[in-house]
Amino acid sequence: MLSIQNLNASIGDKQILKGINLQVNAGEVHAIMGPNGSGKSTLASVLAGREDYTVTDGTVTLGGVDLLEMAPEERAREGVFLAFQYPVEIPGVSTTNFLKSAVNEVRKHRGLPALDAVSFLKMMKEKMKLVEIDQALLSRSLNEGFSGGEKKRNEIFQMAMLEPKLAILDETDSGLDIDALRIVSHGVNSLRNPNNAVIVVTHYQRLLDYIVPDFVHVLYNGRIVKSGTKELALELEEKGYDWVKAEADALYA
Amino acid sequence: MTDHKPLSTTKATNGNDLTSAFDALMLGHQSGLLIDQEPIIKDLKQQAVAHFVAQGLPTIKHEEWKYTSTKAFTALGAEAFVPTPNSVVPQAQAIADYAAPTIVLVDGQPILNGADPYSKLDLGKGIRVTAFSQTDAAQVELVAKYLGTLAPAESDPFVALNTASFQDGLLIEASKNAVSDAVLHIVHQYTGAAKLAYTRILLVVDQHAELKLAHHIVGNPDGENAAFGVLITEAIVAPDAILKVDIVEEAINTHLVTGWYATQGDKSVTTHSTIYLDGPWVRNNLNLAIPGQYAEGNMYGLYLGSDRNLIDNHTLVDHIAPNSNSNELYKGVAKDRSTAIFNGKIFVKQAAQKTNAFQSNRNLILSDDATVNTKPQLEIFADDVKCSHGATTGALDEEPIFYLRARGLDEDQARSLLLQAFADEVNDYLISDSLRAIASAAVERFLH
Repeated sequence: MLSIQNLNASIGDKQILKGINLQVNAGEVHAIMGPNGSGKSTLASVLAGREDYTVTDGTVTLGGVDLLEMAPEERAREGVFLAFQYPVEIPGVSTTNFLKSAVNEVRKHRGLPALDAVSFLKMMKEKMKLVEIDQALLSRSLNEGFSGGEKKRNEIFQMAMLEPKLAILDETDSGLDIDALRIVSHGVNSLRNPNNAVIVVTHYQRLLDYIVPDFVHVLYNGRIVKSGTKELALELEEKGYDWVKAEADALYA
Repeated sequence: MTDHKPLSTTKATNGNDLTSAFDALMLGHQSGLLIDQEPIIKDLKQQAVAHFVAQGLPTIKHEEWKYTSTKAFTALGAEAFVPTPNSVVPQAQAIADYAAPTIVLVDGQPILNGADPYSKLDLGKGIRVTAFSQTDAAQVELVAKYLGTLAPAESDPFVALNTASFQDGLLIEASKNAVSDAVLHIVHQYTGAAKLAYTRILLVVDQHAELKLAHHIVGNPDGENAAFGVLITEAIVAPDAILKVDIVEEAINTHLVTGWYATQGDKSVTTHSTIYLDGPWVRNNLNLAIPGQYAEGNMYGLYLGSDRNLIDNHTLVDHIAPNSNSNELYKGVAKDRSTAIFNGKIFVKQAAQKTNAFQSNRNLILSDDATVNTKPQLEIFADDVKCSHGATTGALDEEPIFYLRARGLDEDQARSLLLQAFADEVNDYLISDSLRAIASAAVERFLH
């Protein structure tokens, strides 16, 4: 489904991604772990099309389609969803306010008719249950005065509404207490199916107890330096990142 | 605070002509209005002539007019400043349906068919509108008592001009305890037939009364002649009274000076929402004097600058007594080669302890050639007060745009949505549903 080859990206003069290779198939969950500053969030941003970054080399395709040539909105319509690490506050714009246009843009791209107000509301009600979010929150200015948990539940709610092919969760666990973590994970797990895939970007193993990955990759210094199964995450939790760093430093010195 | 010095350059070009023109006019003044026969009004007008002649029109050397040139007015020539009696009352053009009681002023003049035509408006009990020309003896007394007490002819040449030259106008009274759901809509059309058109309105809101007005200034959309309007409103707001005023400006082809002056008694509340949507040149002066305690003055503003248009908002709130509040939020968007000016004065007099005064001016600049000048001006002489002000000017934030694009909205949709949200914060204060719809539609058109 998603194929990343030799992806190099920089911000200003600083190269951050130095040749990422990653293959994600439909139905899989991949975890990207790594120490702070390793490039995890950059990878998530580059996939979503954030324009602060310049891709200097490599290719990214989703279902055979070149993603890098696309504007962020085209990627979203093509099925890429980024759950933001820091969901932005937008005064005066509520979730319901923009989500109807968003859902209908995605539907248009997929050749589906636009949802009318009634069907949209019905769909919202269904998806709201999934992340235990209430209508009042969705009518308020986006993320303004939301708790950490509310922000992240709102991100997953949007994911549920947009039904992406590829969801990228950027440190979705940061700032969540254990109850919120459970709710968010339950939401993500319910949305999994054989036709979509999830990339979970996280610093900690904790989230992976709830969203169990098929593969775990360690990103360090702009490269994937180790890949394995969910056991790798447990090993990192126990031993920290130093041993992986040491191995990688020896290899790329 | 204000520079009262006469400006010799203007005076030299206009002054002498004007003196003789006004003298002639005043000596033989026979407008037939009952109020003009009232000695107080006669005096007021004569003094106003002197004030105008002494001041002349301001130039950009004048601190209060630093960014706003009055060239268009001086270019009219002296004869334009001689008031011409309205022998022919122009017909009102077709206007929007406001689904509310509506009065149309053409070149500032009420269109009067028969005696007391406004008595037919469904304004609710205790609310009464009367043209100056149709006032009864008690109303003449009221006008004589209050007119010119708030709008300062001695320090504002446009007020002086208006006071010297207005012919007919409106007296709007809300009697004690009068409360109504009706929003009285006043439509201001300027035809360009009168070189300078003067509108004068006096509001008297008695105790526990509530008055709701919505002004729609449409200017001269179909006319070929440029119009010039000077609109002055004075509002006496008694203790426990409420005054809500919407002002929506689309003064096409019209240079416009407006002045909104209010004085507030104890526990009174005023709200002015001033929305500029179009027009080549406008200067709005909003002045609240708060000699009452526990009173509240709200000032909201929005301006959408485009083309080469100039929008100048000057506001002043004067806290004179303790325990009153003022809230001010002015927001602007400037594109093309437009210029916007915001000057917000907050005065807190020594006696006005426990004043809360808040001011915020936020601007979005959407083009390199657009200009915004913002100047908060706080003069606080009391020590136990809460006053704050803030001004920001910048482009639309990129982060929310990226967020919305990452959800599938294109850049245009994202910008439009953010702009609508920015403007709605002010538009939501409008009490007139039809004016809010007009403002909202203008915001939607603005980016296209």
